[in-house]
Amino acid sequence: MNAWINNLEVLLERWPTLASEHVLVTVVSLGLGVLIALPLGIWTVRRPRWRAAATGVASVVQTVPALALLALILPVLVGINALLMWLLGLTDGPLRAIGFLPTVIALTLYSLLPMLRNTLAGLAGVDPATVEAARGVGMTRRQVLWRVQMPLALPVIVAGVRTAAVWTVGMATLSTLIGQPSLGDYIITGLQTRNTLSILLGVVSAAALAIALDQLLGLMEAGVAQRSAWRKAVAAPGLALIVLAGFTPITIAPWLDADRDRPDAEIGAKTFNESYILAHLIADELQSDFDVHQRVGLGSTVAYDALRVNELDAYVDYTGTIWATIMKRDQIAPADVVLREMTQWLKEHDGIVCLGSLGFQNAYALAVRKETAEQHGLKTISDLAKVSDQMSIASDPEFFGRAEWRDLVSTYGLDFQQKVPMQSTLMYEAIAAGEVDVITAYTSDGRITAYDLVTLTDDRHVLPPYEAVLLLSPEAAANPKLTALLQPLIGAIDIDEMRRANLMVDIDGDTVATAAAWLRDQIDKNKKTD
Amino acid sequence: MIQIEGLVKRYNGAAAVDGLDLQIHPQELLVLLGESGCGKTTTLKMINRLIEPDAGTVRLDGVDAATINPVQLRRGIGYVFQGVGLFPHWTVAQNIAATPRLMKWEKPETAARVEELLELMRLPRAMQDRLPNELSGGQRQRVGVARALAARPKVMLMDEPFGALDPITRDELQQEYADLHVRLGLTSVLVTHDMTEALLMADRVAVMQRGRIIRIGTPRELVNDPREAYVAHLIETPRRQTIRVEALMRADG
Ligand SMILES: Nc1ncnc2c1ncn2[C@@H]1O[C@H](COP(=O)(O)OP(=O)(O)O)[C@@H](O)[C@H]1O
Ligand SMILES: [Mg+2]
Repeated sequence: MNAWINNLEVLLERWPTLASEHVLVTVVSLGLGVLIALPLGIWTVRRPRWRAAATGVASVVQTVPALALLALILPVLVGINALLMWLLGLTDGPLRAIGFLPTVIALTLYSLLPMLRNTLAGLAGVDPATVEAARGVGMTRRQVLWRVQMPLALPVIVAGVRTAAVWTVGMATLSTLIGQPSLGDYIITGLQTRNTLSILLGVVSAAALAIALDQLLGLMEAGVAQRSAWRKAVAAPGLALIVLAGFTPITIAPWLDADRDRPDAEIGAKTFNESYILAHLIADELQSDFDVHQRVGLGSTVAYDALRVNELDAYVDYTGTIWATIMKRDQIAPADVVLREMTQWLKEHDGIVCLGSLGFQNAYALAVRKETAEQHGLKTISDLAKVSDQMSIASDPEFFGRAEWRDLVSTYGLDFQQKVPMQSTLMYEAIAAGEVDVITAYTSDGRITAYDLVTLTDDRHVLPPYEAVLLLSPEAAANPKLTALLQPLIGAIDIDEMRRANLMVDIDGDTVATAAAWLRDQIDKNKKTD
Repeated sequence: MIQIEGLVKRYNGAAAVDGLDLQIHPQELLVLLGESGCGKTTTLKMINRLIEPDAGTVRLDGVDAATINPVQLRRGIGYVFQGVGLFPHWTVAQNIAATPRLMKWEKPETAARVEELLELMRLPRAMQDRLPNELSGGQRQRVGVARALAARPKVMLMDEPFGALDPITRDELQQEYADLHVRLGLTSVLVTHDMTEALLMADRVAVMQRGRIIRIGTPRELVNDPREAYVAHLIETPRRQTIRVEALMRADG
């Protein structure tokens, strides 16, 4: 019970920020959507060809999966930036390709269809005899539109806005993946760390916002249509409150950019706790000289793309990930070779500088209980192969389907008695309880320490290396102060320290900031003893 | 004075109005009569340019209507629509005040005019805050006439204004309007397909067939000298009805 309350307390710390950011992108996107869809609907309602084109485009946008749409906006913005830089002779792209801008573009595009469709349907549904009567009493076209057609179409139009509002609130949860904080942070990190409370908090908050917007818009419409003062008196302040909640000091601060004396530094993090901790650590290092902003929860290649175009200044990635997904290499090489070739490749292709390895790997490994290791004298996977026929292994079902697993089996001649597919949280419990003998683990997972496990060396280099490396954008790399501040992190974190830091956040319920501060202390201590 | 010359309107090649000539004298109540589809509504709408003619001219007091800004033209002419066409989202008062508000009358003046018209059309003052769907058919029709009269037009165009009413309400409204027409010194063009209504209300009746006027004259002239077989046929019904009612009354008395 206490742990729950603790967990909730920690989660709620970010609630005002996330809710406010969520409302901001929702409200801005809906507002823009209305500003586009309404005039477009009004203009095309009497022009069948344009009408077909407009609804066609809006429908196609709608069929693109939300996640894909968000991801597609990014390269488009990068392209527009490049074009603008070339046309205007700028050295810096004027548009930000991650965060607020791409989110608002995607959400606005998504909101268009229901609003456009309902505007058209609402206007078409007005009795032509009423429209003719309006002309007959001497109204101009514009007066017919605003005094007769629009008011009569309003219920249908508002219904479209309500649909769009609900969709937009839902889709905004995905904006986290492209660097825009939202209530989706709870859902995405919750999924990553199997924190059900976090997922629930995100889902419930977003649902509450969607329902509130929908109901208030409905009430407002009814208030206008039925000339009901109390309905308007409830709906108007309610809607105003929601809109204002999006324009709080938290969300506006980055726009005002209060800290003009110090240059900005944008630090990225992917969607898991280790990434958050390291981003926080980097931010702490830079705090003295830079106005640091963290972009956490970025989708897998979003961070890299953002770094390439100087949208981010620094983030931590893993050699194996870059090797496979960016460099598209599939043969396995020793860690030092991968690091060297990757560093060269990044520099040549994207101008990205790899400052170096932080000192640990977050790779796949086979882990056994300490007693098991001592009993059979296991240090390497080759050692394990000799006794594997007496043992059972548990892993993520996904891992058993991967090439790495097949390579492991064939290279070492592994032949387990039993193969048990299992959720990773349960895996640790199972090995601790002696139900299985071997599990697959991420090497920097804190639970390796918590459950007193031993990882076995991959002595025949079958598993790809995943060394944590600090990457800098071309611009950041050219900044001597920034590189000087980050240099001390290189080779400074060993695997045990990273595991402990992860453990603090994953299991003990400490905040990311606490874990980052603890890591920093360790680094300082190590320095003194060196 | 409304002078119509050679008026034509075609839809997909077929003429709805086919070279129509007609003169309407000042302060006259002219009834445009004909069966459904003969082109009455189309003719009426070309007078205030709700429909633009394909050929021909409409002159109002000698001025070609085609040279007048259509919006200004319509504000100066009262129009009662077939099926009333009240604005469903506006109250009775707002409906009646439609044209004065477009013409930017002062608020108190508009409000006074609304009250005046409610009285003129014999509508209770309390009704002004009702919406059209809260009125009976007869009340709606009265509001429709009030709305057309609001900006004190000299010309009234009325498209089957009493068509959908029960006989008693209809008779009442016909008489009231005939009175108003005289009292306000209006020039009225009233469209109907009902010969009895035409004979009872009109100063002159213009009979239309296939987009043209085939006979025009006072009710007396039409009854005594129909000339056209079609006109005689149209008069047959009221004549027969009158004779039978008279016979009944004589038998009774
Ligand atoms: N907008 C239109 N499009 C095509 N045909 C029309 C249109 N309006 C009227 N018509 C045709 O023109 C003819 C005259 O119509 P209308 O003036 O409404 O007749 P009335 O009012 O005498 O019943 C009819 O045959 C009708 O079908
Ligand atoms: Mg008609």
